[in-house]
This record gives sequence, structure tokens and C-alpha cells, in this order.
Amino acid sequence: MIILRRILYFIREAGQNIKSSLLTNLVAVFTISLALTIFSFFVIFFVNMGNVLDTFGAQVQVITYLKDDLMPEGISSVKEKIVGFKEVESVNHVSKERAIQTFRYELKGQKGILDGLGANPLPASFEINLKKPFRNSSGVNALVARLKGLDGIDDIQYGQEWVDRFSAFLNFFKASGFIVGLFLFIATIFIISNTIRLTVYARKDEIEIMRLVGATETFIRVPFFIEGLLEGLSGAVLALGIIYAGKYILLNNVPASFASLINIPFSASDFMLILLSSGAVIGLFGSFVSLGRFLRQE
Amino acid sequence: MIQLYHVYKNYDASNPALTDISFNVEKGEFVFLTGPSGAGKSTLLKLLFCSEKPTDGQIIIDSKNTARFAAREIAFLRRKIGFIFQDFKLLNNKTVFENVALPLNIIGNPYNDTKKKVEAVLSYLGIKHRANYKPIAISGGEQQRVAIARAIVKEPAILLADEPTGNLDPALTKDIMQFFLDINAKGTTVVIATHDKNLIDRLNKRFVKLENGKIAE
Repeated sequence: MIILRRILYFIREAGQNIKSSLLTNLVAVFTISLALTIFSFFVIFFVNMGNVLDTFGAQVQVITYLKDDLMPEGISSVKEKIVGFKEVESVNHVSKERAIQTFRYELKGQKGILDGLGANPLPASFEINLKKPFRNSSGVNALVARLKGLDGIDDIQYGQEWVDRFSAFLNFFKASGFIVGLFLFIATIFIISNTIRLTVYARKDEIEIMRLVGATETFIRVPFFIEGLLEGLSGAVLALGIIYAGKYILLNNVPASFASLINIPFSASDFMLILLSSGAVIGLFGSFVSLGRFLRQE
Repeated sequence: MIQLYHVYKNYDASNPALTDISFNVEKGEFVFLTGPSGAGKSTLLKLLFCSEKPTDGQIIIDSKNTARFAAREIAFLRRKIGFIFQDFKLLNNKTVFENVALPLNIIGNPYNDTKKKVEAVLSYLGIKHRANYKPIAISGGEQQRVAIARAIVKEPAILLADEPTGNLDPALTKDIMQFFLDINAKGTTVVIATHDKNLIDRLNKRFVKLENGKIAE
């Protein structure tokens, strides 16, 4: 009963506090929403960019040419072994016949060139696609090393240079995105905790008086936490509005090829949940940090 | 109720605020702390209220040594002590009623009981009609009574007051002192710091006189 009474009291206090310093609270809400908006746009862009790069990554392929004397049983035993490698996502068998057909099709008008050929000179092959975590130079090299240990394989082909460059770029992209994201995150927390500190400072005397009449630190802090939580949530709701409005405006004004970079790469409910809970956590954390700093100074 | 043993307080080494203070206040006693401005009266009250810690010596309040109190214990001690500050220390964004209800809200008192007690104490002090006013909208004498109401509403074991009649006219001073006598008659230990010699002479109560941070007699 006493706990319920306390909770009601805290909520009423927080409500009154927000009302009595409405302007500072509004500033805090706007700051939180701006910070969340900027951070969200960054995350959206980063994830979309990553997805685009992933589709490039899917093109990382290793082709193994098989020896001509390999019997069908041999082919399927090699395939089985390759499928068993941890780097391998899928294996596509291209028979000698398929290879020549494809070649003919690609030559189109100049089919005559092939007419003089007696036997089919093209080897059968496996086109091997790698699992996502291995679509880089070390993954490809590891797979190639394993493939070289297999019998019945004539030659292995992969765009060594292309894979190297692509994986270097991907690493750079991830690292720089992580660093920029981290800085943005720290700046966000810093700005928000300072804004919330303004609301705390505005009630410096009140905190002192509460203490003098026997309030414990918890009793003093809880209404501030509730306030921070509400500020964070309101900021998040506002940020959601800005992001969806921004997305709508941008989608109507940019070429279609850019549109994929603006699309929110999460389901709407996930995105809302992420943003609202980030707002709540940031609000709580912000008031926790600024109040802790403030109360220690006393 | 209150025991001080060889209490020292130095803010800086060359100029001690309190030197070797020892005295007792019995339960239910009414004691004046007196002496000229700067004698250390306010500092002594702050020590009793745990706003400051003594540099040396022991302060026992209600059988507990407060020298090593943690923040939480200080909060709980303050719930047993009513303090009337010289500058009242009222919350200006809250009404008179809310100010007086604060100590009861802090201990989680039921709302109906709080309402009853606050209204009772406000009528007792003659300011019930100001219940919904903010402190800045009422007179200094009324603010003083709000401060008293907040200090006594929880029926504290000890009441401390720092120059409670400092800037009041003689008629108001008389009223306020009567409130303190009434509270004392109900069993609350009262310690009042004042430099007003007439007040002490008139009431004929025990006093502890400070001079330059030492007990004078």
C-alpha cells in the first residue's frame, strides 16, 4: 500500500515538475528528438549501404574446374565434400554440356566459331557461393586451400584482386561507420544529459529543501527519473514523426536509385520499438548521469 | 536527548568556528542558544541537524552517534527533527499546503491523514486561509508560520529553530514563542538559537551562551 502511494506520489510530482518548468522540459524533448533523428538517419543510411555492399559480396564466387576423366560418382563425391566445407553456402554443378551451351548462347551471332570443334573442350565445373561471413579474402583463401586438397580438381578460379579490394573496402566501411556511430552516440548522450542537467539545476533549491526535511536520495531521484523517461519517450515520438516525414519528402524528391538508401531497413514496429526504447533509455540514463553528477557536487 | 562531547568545528585552521563544546539537553527540555552574531550558534545548529560534520568530538542525538552517519541515516534522523530555518526554505513552486505536507509525503503518510494533519496545523497557526497560496504571495510573518507548520506537522521529537523571531515585530514574536512553548508542553525538545536577550529574559528558560565559538557560561 505504501509502495503504491509512493508511486502515485512520484508520478504526480514528476507531472507537476514538468508543468512548472515546461520550457526547459520542451528544450530537453527537442534536443532528444533531434539527437535521435540524426542518429537514426545515420543508422538507416549505414545499414542500407551495408545491404548494398552485401549484394556485391554475394557475387564473390569460387569456380573449380573438374578434371575431364572424373566419373559421375567422382563428381558427386567431390560435390559432397565441398558442400561439407564450413565456408560454403551453395554449390552449383555446371556440366560440360551446360558449359558449352552457355558459351554458345553468349557468343550469339558468332556461333560459327565453335563449328569446327570436335569434342567439347570446356571442362565441367562447380560454382561455389560462400556464406556471408566468409565473403572476404581470408574466407576465400581458406576455401581455396581446402579445394586444392581435393582429388579430381583441375583448376580453381576466383577474382583474387577483386575480392581483396572488396573486403578491404568493406572493413574500412564497417570500421569508419562504427567509429562515426560511436561518436554520434556519445555526443547524443552528452548533449541529452547536459540538457536534462538544466532541468535539474533549475530545481537546485528544491533538492536541497527536500533533503533538509528528511527525503532520502532515492525519494529525491525517482521523480527526476520519471521526468527523464517521459522526456526521452516524447523525444522519441517526435523523432519518429520527423523521420517518417523526412523519408516521405525525400522519397518523392530523389532518383529511384537513391531511394533504397532512404528506406527504413527494419519493420515499422521494430523501428518504433527500437526508437522508443532508445528514447526511454537515453532519458533515464541522461537523468541518472546528470543527477549523479549534481548530487555529488553537493 | 542531545549530548555534545568536546565538539570542535574548523572551517579553516586559523579561525575555529566552535571550540570544545560540551553540553546536554534533556528530553522535553526548552533551551536557548544565545550569543552575539558570529558566535557559532548557526554552526552548532547545523551540526545538530547533520548539515555539517564536526571536525572533532561526538554528537549523540536520541542515543545515536551522528558523527559517522551515512546519507540515508541523516535523512532518517531529520524525520525526527523539525528545523525552522532563518530564511524559511520554502518551495516557491508549491502551495502552502504542499510545503507543509512535504515531510509527511516523504514518510509515505496516507493522503487523508496528511490532509487532516496539515489542515489542523495550519488552523492552529492561523494560516489555513492561505493553504492554496504560493509562499511568494503571502507576507513574511505568514511564511514564518508556514516554516513552523512544516517543522511541527510530523510531531518531531526535537525542534530546532535558527533566529525564528529575527525579523518579526514584538506582537508576532510573542505569538510565535507561544507556539514553541505549546509544542514543548506536548513533549518536544526545543532548541532555539537567538541573539534576542529580551526574549530569553522574558521566558526564563535555560540558555547556553556562546562567545567566539566557546561556551561562555
